Amino acid sequence: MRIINSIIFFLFLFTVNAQDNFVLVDNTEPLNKAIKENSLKVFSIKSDFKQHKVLSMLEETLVSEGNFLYKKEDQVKWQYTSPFEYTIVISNGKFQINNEGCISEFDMNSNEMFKQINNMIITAISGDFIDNKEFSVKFKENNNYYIAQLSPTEKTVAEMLSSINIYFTKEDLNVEKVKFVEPGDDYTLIIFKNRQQNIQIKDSEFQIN
Amino acid sequence: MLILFILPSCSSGYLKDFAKFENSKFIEPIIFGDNFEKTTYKTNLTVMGNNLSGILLIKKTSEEEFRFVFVSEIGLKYFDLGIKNSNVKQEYTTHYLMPALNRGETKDILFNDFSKLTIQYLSKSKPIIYKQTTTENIAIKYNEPDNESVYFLDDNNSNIERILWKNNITGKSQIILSHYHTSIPQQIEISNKKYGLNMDMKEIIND
Repeated sequence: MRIINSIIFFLFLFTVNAQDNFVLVDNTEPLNKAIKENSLKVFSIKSDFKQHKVLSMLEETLVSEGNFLYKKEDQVKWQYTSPFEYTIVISNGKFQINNEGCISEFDMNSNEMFKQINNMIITAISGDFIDNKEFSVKFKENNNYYIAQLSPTEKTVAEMLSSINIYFTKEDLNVEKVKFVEPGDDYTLIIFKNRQQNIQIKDSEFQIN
Repeated sequence: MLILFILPSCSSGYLKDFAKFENSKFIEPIIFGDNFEKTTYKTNLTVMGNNLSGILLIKKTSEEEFRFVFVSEIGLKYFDLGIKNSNVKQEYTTHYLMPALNRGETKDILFNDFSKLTIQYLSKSKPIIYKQTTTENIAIKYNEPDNESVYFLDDNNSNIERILWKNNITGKSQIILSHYHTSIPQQIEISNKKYGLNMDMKEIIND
């Protein structure tokens, strides 16, 4: 019985590894072109999301969820609805935050860190990272996904993040998952669901009153 | 029947209306007691004029160690601090501290405040118990080499509702604890006026 259990366990491990088994994409030129063309077609995104903050050493995952809006060129709204209420809006060069009713606003140019975070978010969601000099890009693939693995070239960003892994579905090249990996292997995984693309989103959606 | 003795007053400035109280059967309450494993708080931290918000995870990683990890709502980690008990004194470990927070006395104040919440790790020497002469509320004083801490209990003398501590280097802090669920306070407010540090914590109750 113990032997059978061991075999089942190893088969399970093999299956899990096989699912995650990504290999480097040799010829990246066609994929680069396809992703770039796809990102040019996207002018708005509306989606739900689930965020997993994984603290590896502590074996802990903090889960939160909410909804997400993006409108070209640079309007973004993250609205966390569970287990807390928190909204962050990036629009017209400003960061606005509603932290459980307490509203604050920051000029993006006044804070280099906000600027970099904004750049990372928009880069990751829109898939618009080709030709972006702030990241070096490596592509990997498995049966279901292409991964663009972005490594920051800026030292200040590299101190916070070792890579941003953007998961594109092979089916339609849409971004389904984004993984922000920190030095030390903790990471934040954001999974998008119920994605709607190129729908009309009013500018007023990007205002916190 | 408990045998109670109230002795003449002998106290610090925190304990003006209190007198020493000897009761061999009195058991000091602890925060995050034996059955505690972990919890999370929605937290706002103001320090040196900066406002940071996010989730504070408090986890007991072993019988000897607590970890305090603060991450922003979007997943950016601010700090990861460990407090470990040893036979001699508490050991503080900085697993991670965002460079912007690694200035002045911030880290020391945070360690001091968090260590007060892990009361069971305080000095092995016996604490001194006081009783308020007017209300009969109990206060517990711990004398450590660099710190003086006083824990004030609520009207039922069952939970800790306020902690005052002072230290020559990091000034003094007040910690208010309320809305207890078993040994876990659902709200905690920490303030250190000297360094302008304030921390408001509300426990996140998952549905």
